Amino acid sequence: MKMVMGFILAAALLLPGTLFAADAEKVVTLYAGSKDASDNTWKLRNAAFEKATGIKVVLQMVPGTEDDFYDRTDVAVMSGDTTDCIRLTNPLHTNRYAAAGFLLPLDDLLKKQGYNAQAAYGKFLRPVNGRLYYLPYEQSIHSVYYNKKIFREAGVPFPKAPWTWDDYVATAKKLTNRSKGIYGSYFVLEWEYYYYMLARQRGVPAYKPDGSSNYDDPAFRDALKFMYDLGETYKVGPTYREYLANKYTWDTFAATGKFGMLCIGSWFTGLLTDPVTYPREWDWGIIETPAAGPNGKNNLIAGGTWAVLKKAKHAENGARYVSWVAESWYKDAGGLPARVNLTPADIQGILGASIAEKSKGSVTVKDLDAALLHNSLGVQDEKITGPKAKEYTDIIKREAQMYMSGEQTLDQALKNIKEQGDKALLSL
Amino acid sequence: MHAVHGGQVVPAVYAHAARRSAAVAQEARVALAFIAPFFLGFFVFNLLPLLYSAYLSLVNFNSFSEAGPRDFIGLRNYLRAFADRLAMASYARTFLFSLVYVVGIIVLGFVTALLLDRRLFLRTASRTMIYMPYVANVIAIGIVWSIVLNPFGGPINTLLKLLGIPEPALPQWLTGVRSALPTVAGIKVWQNLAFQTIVFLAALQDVPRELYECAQIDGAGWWRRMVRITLPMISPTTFFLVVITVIGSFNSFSIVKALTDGGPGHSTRIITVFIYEQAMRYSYYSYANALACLLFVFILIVTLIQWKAQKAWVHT
Repeated sequence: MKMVMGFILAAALLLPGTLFAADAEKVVTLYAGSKDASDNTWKLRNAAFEKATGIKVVLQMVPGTEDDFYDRTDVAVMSGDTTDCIRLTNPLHTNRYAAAGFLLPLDDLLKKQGYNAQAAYGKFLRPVNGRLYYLPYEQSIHSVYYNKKIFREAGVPFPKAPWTWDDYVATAKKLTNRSKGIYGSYFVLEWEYYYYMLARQRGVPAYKPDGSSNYDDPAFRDALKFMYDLGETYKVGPTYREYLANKYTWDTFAATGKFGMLCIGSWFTGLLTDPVTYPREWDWGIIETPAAGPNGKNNLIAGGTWAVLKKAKHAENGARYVSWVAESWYKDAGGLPARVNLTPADIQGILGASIAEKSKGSVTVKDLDAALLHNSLGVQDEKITGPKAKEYTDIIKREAQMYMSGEQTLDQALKNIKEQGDKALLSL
Repeated sequence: MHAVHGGQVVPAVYAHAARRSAAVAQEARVALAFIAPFFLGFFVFNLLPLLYSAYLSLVNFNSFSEAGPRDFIGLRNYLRAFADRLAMASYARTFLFSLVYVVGIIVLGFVTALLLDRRLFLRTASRTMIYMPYVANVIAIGIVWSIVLNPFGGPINTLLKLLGIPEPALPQWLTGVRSALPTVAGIKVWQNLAFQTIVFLAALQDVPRELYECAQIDGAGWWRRMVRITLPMISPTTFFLVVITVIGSFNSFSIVKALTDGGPGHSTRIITVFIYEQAMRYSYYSYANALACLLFVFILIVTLIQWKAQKAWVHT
């Protein structure tokens, strides 16, 4: 009797483990932020992957804002967490993770799957020391999105390209109607790159040749003053204090319909074509980014990547997920894929199927093509991505926000950024 | 008289002492077994992390890389802290925050306890409701107070405008660089008032009523009774509350994170927020630990000063 009971007990303890072991091969785990878990496009995409491959997608939830996301995943990854895949939303994070050696090289894994990354992504691939550590899932190209309803109500004709930031301000002034709670312009003031956006458009580097901060260049002064003037001088956008007080965020433009224009990356089309997460009663338009003067006829580009982590428990499944999601991200999330094996007709098809058709008549393929692809603008990287970029950009953000909130003058802000930037960049 | 103890014949007094010693030892073993879980938890979750933090502050773990052995660099992280203008400013800001918070909560806690000690309408309900902020979620508190104190159309400023205060003179609350820190301290006072109030209430109720009766007979008024009887009699409780409140205020983090995240600018970047950023944002783990160890030393010094000073005002 004792032997029988012992056998039953052992079987009861071991059997679920063996079942789980069998399922473990058909699982891939991903880090996901708070908004990702409730994002309809994530659900659609992961469901499609599961159906296509039979591999179950399990989300490792990371609560908090985007900054909190990387604060927490950093610690988890350093501690040897075995989650398989991570999305690195901009080059700052991609470079950090790659430089720190936390990403698994994908070359062999992709070769085993018979997947030719070079053929698919070409120039968008950025190998590190000759090895491939991530696949780009989008190329994010800036443009201005505008609320057509606000334009019609203000009796303002839709903007026409090519245009400049002075034209943008003039248009925003006509749209602003404080009695109705409407501002003509919106910028995500918690994102540091807006504070140097105009300087980036002019191609001014953030680092001097000796590695120190280049923030004493007048272009950075103009860029920061422009952001300040939008709210405090021209009064066409919320001041920084209003932004904080009303808890505005990166999706406020899509969520509220109270702002006339927003200059942001092409990934934003995903929000404007997602009626479940962002229901709207207004239609929208798109136009190329305004030029920052004669030397600033450049658009800003960036791109997110997917990678497999070094300690991934299911590395092969992770590589499969990464290659699948990098190719198909745009289908649910909008935006543009970072691929070279697409013909112009393919691209037009993507603009149509992924964005124009889902916009329910707001924009046409022609509008998207002109705003994003075929225009008079060159390209510059949206973000500062050199040594100690995270600390450098945080210094810029902090000092810029102190200027924006009136705690210090423009000259003080620039001086502090230069001094603190030099200290951070030139220290060991 | 002899007795058998441990298989040997020994004088009875020795047998009795041996049995008593065995009983004491047995009791000690049982006592150890009962307190072992606490000590295990204290060792694992308090002492070990404290020692590891001190170790980390002496090595060079200031980069985003795998956890592992690091080079010993002595006090370099500490020297860096003293040379870091922003770190020193954060310590100073923390001191200011604590001043506003401790004074506010001790005074308000005492006054609220005095009110609740009287016979007033809805006293029982008030004693219950005062605990609501204490048990509320800090994120919910952050959201609610951000809405209430919104300087652009929030209920408080709207009311002040109706009372005739001109718009430029309206307080900026959480969005003003000068007002943000005292506002956060004020909200923290509101959040934690219940604990101080309940402890003060218990102390007030412990004061012998005969003292007040005698004082009244002698013609002492309300103020004199307060100063000569109430305050001295509850001074040990006041001392205890001041000590733990000061320690708690230096460790404030979640309320600042929920309300302002250290902003606007640097205005609410107290040392705990600064330490968090150094570790989590910039991966300066050793430097952050050095800052934390310095904070520990600072709190220890302040507590020791308070301990020494109690002789001057704590009635025993």
